[in-house]
Amino acid sequence: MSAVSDQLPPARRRRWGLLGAGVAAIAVAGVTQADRVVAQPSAPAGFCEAYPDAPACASGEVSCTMCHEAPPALNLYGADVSAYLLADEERPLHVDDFDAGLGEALAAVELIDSDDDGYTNLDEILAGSAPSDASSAPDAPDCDDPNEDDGWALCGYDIDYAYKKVMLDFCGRSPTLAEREAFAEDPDRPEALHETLDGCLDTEFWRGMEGRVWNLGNRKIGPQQAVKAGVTAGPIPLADYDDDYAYFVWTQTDGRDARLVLTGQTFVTARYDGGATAYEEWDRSPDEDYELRGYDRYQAVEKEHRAGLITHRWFLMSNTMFTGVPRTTAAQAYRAYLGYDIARLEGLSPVQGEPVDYDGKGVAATGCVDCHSTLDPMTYPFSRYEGIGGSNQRYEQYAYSEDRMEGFTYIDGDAVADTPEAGVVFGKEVANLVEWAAVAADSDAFKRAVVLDYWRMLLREDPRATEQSDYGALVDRFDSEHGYSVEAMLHDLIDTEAYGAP
Amino acid sequence: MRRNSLFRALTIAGTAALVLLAAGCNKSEDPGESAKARVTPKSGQVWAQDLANGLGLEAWELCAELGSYDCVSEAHLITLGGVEPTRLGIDEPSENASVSAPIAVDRVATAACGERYARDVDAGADGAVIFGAVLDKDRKRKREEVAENLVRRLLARHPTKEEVDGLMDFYKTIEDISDDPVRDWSIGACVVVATSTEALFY
Repeated sequence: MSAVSDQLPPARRRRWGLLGAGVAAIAVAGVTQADRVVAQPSAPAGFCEAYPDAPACASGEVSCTMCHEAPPALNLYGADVSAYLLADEERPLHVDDFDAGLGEALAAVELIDSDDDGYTNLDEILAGSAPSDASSAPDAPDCDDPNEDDGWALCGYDIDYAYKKVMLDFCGRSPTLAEREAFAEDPDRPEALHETLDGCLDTEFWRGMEGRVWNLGNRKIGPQQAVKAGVTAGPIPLADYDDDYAYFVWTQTDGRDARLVLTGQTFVTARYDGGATAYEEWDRSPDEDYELRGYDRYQAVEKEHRAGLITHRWFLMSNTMFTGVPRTTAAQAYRAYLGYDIARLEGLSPVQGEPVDYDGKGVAATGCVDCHSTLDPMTYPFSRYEGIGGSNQRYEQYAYSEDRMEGFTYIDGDAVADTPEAGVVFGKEVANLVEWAAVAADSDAFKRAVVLDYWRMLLREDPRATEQSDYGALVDRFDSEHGYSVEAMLHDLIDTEAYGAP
Repeated sequence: MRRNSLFRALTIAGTAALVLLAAGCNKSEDPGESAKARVTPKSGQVWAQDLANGLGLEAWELCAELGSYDCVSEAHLITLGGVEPTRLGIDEPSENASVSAPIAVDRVATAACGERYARDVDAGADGAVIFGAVLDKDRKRKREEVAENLVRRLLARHPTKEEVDGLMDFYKTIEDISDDPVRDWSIGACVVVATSTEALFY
């Protein structure tokens, strides 16, 4: 292990992190009938209760890929578990039966080698390799580095390599030969490494317009120049996503609480001035912003109804558009900020009695209910926020309208007016979108999603099985030690072996 | 004439690269295998910035297709791992390099190294940034000096003897076929180092 790893305090070296009630699709097989759904599918938690020290459980929930190729299709290990799971019972199993039988089924296949790679399932689970993938096996205990004095240290964290990587990842350039030599001779290299990171976090490459953090927002914001308003407006200016990018970068920098991305009630403008991008927070009423920036740019939601980026004009314009019950909007919020793609059966947390199908779209039908029993109650709090044109042009577009749904009866039927504003997210009842955002921002899913965003950015892949403990520890500390500061988390991340091993 | 010589130099550059690679993989010095084996490509922006810093140029001076379109930020933006979310909907760098990426890398490196050489010629041996030694007197020791300088500036480390020897061998190949071996060796050696695996990945 490296000098840096050795110097980490005990809490930072803790290998096993959260256990939690995950919602991965491992549970889908047990909840395929509307009358059998429960609020918290517990199969992922059941797996982690059986193997609390497994690296796959370090982040709080075991991935659906532990048992599935692509849900609901089982992989080799999942098929073996299924074969031993109340084999005589009719499928699909009731969720209570599923939960009751899971532990025995897991134990029954521990000494089987599902992927025929020479390691038992139990060995693989505890080592962090995949029991269904023959190419994934427990790491060889020995690492051969024949030229330890020549180039990088190949068997663990190399702080000189980490220094070069920090310069490239955060400053956008390699260190010069003189800089590398100065770093190598520094009597306190760990401290010098973190000072380097601090300097790089202030560069345009990292935090400027179209810099790395800015571009991290691409998939969340979904910019389309053709309908952009403001600077470099497109032919049909509807909203200005520069507001969204500026706000996103602002929440990720200068030690701010990253939860503001969902809970903030102000706005931010990015201004390129004097060779650097400045982010200026502002707070105006819709009327004031209309007067200042005009019809095609003003932010129309009153302050008490704002919830960070998910009530920004661009978000409502590009997702809600002309929809009464804006399921796409809720799904995008879930995907972009909480890491769950419902279209891939991720993050399912079914609510009994849902979906009601207020707008008569047929979402209660078999095959639809599995996702919509989560999605629809999660969507209701979004339903009071106007999209393009306002509801039947009765209200101001992109604004909050308490009785918005009455404007959709001529399209979706009378029942759509009964759509409640209250909803459910992660099994918790919320009265409105502001409460929805607060629950979401305080969730483990939010922490995991933020850390994963940067992990993927810097390492260009998801955490490997053997790195789940490092990843889980970062997630665990994101609130308790980092105070939801992305920059504090990044200081932690560059000390991991995943980052600093060549 | 210039284009013809450059073409020959680039043709030979591949051979030189193989020589350089072979020099670095001496069996007696097995480099070993990384336990992580996580190799990350530099984005075009980062690679170009390294190239610009190494050659003493501004990033926008490196290369322009048709003399107008910046190679890195415009013409080959996506090919070199960039993004263009607002018009093309390309939100993230492509997971794998495209088949045209090596061509784009070669074009940028050739243009940039050529630009550095031309400026060094204009500046004269005393004012040159990289190639002054061979512009003064084309001797083996002078070429070694340039080879070492290229590795230090473009890879930010000291060269190994095998690497310098590899670049020197390149001259033996080129001197018989080039009408300006100093120029063609200088630009070719620069391209070899600038497009090496070490320069492109980390």
